Amino acid sequence: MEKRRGPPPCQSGSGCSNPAKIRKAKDGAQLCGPCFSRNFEDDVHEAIVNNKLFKRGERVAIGASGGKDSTVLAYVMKTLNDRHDYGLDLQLLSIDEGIKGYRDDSLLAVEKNRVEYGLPLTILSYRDLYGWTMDDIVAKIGKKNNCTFCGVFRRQALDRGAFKIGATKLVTGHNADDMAETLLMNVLRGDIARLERCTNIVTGEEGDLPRAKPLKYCFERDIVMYARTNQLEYFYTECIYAPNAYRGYARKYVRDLEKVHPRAILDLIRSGEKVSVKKEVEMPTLKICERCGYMTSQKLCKACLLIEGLNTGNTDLGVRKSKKSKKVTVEADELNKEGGCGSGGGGGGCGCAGAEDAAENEETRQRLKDLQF
Amino acid sequence: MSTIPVTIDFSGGAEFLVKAKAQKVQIPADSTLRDVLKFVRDNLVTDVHRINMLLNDDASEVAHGVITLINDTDTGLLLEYDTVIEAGDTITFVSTLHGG
Repeated sequence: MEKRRGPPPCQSGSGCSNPAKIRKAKDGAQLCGPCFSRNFEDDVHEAIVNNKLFKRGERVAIGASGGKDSTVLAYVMKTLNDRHDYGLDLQLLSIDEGIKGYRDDSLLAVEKNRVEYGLPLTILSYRDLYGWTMDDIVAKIGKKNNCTFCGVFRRQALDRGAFKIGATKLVTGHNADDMAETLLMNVLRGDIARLERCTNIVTGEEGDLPRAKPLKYCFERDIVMYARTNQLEYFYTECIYAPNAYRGYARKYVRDLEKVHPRAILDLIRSGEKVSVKKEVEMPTLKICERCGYMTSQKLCKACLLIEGLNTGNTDLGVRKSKKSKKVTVEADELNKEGGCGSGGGGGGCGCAGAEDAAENEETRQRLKDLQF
Repeated sequence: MSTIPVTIDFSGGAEFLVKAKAQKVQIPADSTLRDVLKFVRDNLVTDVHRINMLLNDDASEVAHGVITLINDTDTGLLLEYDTVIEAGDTITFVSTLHGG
């Protein structure tokens, strides 16, 4: 019988003589389990140090969904904080969207992290914050545009949660694959404002709560292998409400590119980093929501607009562009762009249709005026 | 035709497409990993509507985003699909697509 060729030795260069077990997706390095883990952690450490993501003594909220990205993020942050003495006060922050059979199960995974990593956990629910669970919302509007609600609500909920626990920074588990997809989506939609910032490792630095993405340069495959190597348990049921549209196409395209040329993901991110918007391009100006004080480019923030629609039965509000048009267009929501619906590590990017078109919208504005809040 | 015992293991979400997470099965001796893909399609996949999350159309390759391991070693470090399976091997399919 033909003999199977054994794996090559670990190439970590640290004198390790174990057989390689993992081929790192990012650069093809052939490594044994322990050297792969260390290499992965060193990558994240480098991103943190080079970008000066944290200050000693800072309280950092980790957006934790129980999925692979945020589970790995929490574990790596804790490991690096101990190893390199960052001096950070790390806390887990989870959002309960109120999706039975999905989020209640994944929150159990976060609860496990709390116990195993010894990090405090705070859970905020859509019901408490907005008066509506996602189950309520889907019962009212159906499954078509619910990702818009979920994404907008989660972004705000994470911010509010972070403020509540006194954090000065929020970290989420967005990975390199997510970022490459988001970049493509913003190009395809002509969303210039988001295109410019979507590959930033830190956003919202001008505000009170910057958001950082320490796993920005980590490939999804490597995150999964890291979780496996370190026996991290995570939750991986797809959101029961997630449709598989716009992001799904971008995702497939990125995956196909990655197959031909693994660096394509990093090249896409680099393109995003180098893009700068010409001065004459009109950008939305940031204002304060008249109702809740959250940042917005409109009179009301998107969450308040959506809630208004739910409470008044006008559920197209903030979702459809035009009542006349049959084509449903989901409007922009930060979270879905930057992250995704429930299956995302405070994002992450499931296949959910999420968001489209962030541009200022005359009709929405007009309808707002008509409503006379 | 002689057969050999192997364990086929599904994780990361791939287990939802088959009957059980880990299955001890007999496959023909001298099978390669490529033969195992067809075996999985023909004998183990129960969710035929979502089979494209695990395998491509003719089961010649795994779907993109699925990692294959033999005894916990990435098959990319072996002979990929030409790797000959030996008695007692554990072949693992890890989906990377679910959740975040």
